[in-house]
Amino acid sequence: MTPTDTSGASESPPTRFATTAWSVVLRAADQDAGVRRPALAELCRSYWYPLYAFARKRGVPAADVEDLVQGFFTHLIEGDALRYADHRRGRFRGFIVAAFQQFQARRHEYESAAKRSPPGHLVPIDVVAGEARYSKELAAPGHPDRSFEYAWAVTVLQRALDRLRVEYEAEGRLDRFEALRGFVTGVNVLEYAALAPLLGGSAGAARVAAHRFRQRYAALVREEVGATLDDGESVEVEIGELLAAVRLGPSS
Amino acid sequence: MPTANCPRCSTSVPATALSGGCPACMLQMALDFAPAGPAPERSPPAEFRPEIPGLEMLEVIGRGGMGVVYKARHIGLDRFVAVKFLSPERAADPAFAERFAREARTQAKLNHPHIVTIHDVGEAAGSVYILMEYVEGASLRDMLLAGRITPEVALNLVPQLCDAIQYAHDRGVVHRDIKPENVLITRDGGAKIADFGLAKSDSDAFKLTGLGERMGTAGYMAPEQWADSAKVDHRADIYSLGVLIYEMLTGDLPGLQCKPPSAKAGTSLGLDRVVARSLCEEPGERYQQAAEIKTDIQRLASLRQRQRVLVGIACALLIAILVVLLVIAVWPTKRPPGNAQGDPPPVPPTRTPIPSEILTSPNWEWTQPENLGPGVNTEHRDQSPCISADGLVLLLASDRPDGHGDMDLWECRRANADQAFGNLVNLGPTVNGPDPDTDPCLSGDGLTLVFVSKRGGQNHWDIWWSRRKTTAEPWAESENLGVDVNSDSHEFRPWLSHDGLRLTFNSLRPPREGVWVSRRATSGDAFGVATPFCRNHDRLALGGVSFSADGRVVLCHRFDSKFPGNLMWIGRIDNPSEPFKNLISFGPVVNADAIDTVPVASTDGRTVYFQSDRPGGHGGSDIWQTRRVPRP
Repeated sequence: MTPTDTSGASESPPTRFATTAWSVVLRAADQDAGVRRPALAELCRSYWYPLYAFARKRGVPAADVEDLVQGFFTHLIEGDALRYADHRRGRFRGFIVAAFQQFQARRHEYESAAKRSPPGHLVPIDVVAGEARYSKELAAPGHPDRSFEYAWAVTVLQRALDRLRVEYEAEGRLDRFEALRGFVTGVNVLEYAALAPLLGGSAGAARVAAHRFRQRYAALVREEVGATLDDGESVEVEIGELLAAVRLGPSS
Repeated sequence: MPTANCPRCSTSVPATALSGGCPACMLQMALDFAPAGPAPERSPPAEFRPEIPGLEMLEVIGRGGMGVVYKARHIGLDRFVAVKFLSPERAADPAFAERFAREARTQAKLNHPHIVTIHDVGEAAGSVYILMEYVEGASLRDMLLAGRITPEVALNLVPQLCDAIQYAHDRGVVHRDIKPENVLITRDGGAKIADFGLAKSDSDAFKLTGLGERMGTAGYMAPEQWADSAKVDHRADIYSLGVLIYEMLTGDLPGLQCKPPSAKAGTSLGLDRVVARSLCEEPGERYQQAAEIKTDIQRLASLRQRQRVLVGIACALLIAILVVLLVIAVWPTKRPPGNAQGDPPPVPPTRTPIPSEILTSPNWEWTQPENLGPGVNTEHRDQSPCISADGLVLLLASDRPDGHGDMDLWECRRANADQAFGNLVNLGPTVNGPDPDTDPCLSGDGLTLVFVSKRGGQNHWDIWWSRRKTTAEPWAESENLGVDVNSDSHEFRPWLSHDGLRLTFNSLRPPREGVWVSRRATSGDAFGVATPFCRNHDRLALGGVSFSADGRVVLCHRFDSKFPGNLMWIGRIDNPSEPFKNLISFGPVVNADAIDTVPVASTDGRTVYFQSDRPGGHGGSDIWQTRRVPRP
């Protein structure tokens, strides 16, 4: 079964990308809610799926998880709950899962008995797609942290791929993207000679195009990762940790 | 549903993302195609030649992101030493330099033949340096790459590494970055561990964050280290050692393949068990001490002799069991009254321990939690328990549909402490309104009730109260406690002291959520202006704070990322200005992988009631109890 295309991966390619979001959130002063909240909302919009997977892995039934995750995001963003989270904020990846667990623990204090969803969710969550994805990839028994990290890494890589696609699309060169994509995914990689006609030149030009494609992808991955780190934190470290996590698999 | 595996690296490939790409390979590519140009930390100035009095600097023997290592000659002692210099950029940060020096001092306390000895630490040339033993030899990494590590060599090195690690653990030092680059092999084949607790950065990345957290190298890190949690103890080193052993035996890192060393290198099955046990995901399932690994390795080496010894031990055990049985059969059965049998009593036999002692004494333990049953719990949300002083009335909040509003306060009674609680009765319309009401708490005399409500169309919880003249009367119409106590933010879990004169509660008022207190002089008075409960009341992220009847024990729930499964905490109050100082977890018997909150203690200190959504309930959250019994 061929996996679905990038644009079919649960969400349409986002048009706006946060590249400095987490450090902005951390740097913003207590009273700068107008700065902090949109940046936080942007981050949550990007990384809701790993949290969804984490909640499901922890045993929250599919019927309840949307409420829980939406409630958490509302609490985080509207309730300005950055102040109440575990005081070791660290990277966004660590923060969001710790804050979520804290929210889950104190939920009875935070939610009203009447389940009224706020009008217009701050963070759009496609629960149907999320659940479909979860049941295909992560439903085997395993540790929630593992699922979270695996889903996180995949989300980072997918976002970078989507951004790259958007860049090629904006130049009207989607066919180029399709042809070169294999150099990043490792699937259906064409020979340089076969690529040459499409890339309008020699095999040598195809090789250069492939190299540039990978370099650009690598740069986008680093930007995505960087957006979830505080200033001065190393992108290499974070990528290294995600790599280690991913090697252990989604549900081991 | 099985997912595909990457043909190159065996990592699981997601079915619905990345167009079939492997996340490990893609991440690796992102690392490999790093932008051109050196990162500032990676290439220290080439010609930086520091001068240190008494040393003749010879040559560079190593470079890392943190700095450079030189070989030098100690003029006075006429011997070689190694000097590690912190790079000037790092040295410019005083916090960093101080930490570097402090770690050196930590390693300097370790004096062991298999640990590189630290001689001195100092400042020179605008930077900080560490003077250490010069080791003639190569790193384990070099030896592995050269193919010089056979299983025989490995099994000779492992006990030495275990000795070194055990020695350090015994002194409270955890390495956290054990890997082949950090193990030196001397000319005579001995092992020495370097960089114990020292920060080091190379291409596999390792850094200090501002809070002193350190992450090891990806391939060798224990699972609890990745989660960025501080639930990392000496057992992370056990894991890294397991990875090292695997790599020494097979030449590869473990990882998804799950191929045991016997399958890859033809080594014994016994070694498979050693490696597998070191690599357990759960720290509690690994070897707990490095010395145990050494023991097992050495045991495997002399198996036959061991078998003979085991037979001998089995016989001895059999005799011992017979002796014990004989003793039990013959031993007199009288026991001192009121105390654990046979043990020397922890307190003089005539004194009954007081409730707060029972709650926190190590001579008592918690029982497996029990659900309070269908008379109390429903398939709806039942939460926030509170027990009367005589232990006969249990109050709680529930959103079962037959109340007055979205969530109401209910109570149930029992005739004596041996009976189960009877069916729930609503507290009535003077207390409950159409808006949600929860978190009830009763004073010791049963005449004052506090709770929180959103009534009046508010969007935040406020503390309300109701009073009555005798416990036989109905509750008077409830009232908001007013602006002296309530704010425009949420107030939760109000708690009355036994005498009803002190009210503590959680408040989300700015600048930060914390614990507040309000007092009154007599039961006839109103509560005064609320103030913070103690210093640091807003730094502890506590909730559900309650107290024992004598006020000497505090109970609460709290999410601490060091103990993610343990939400409920209890502590003795020695000093009223530091009430949360002695908090300890309720422990693994009570805490489950569920949301357990709002613990409250009975007056006699024998029971704690709490709310939990763990399996085995009736649906939604339920009220559970755990009891205190003497340790056997």
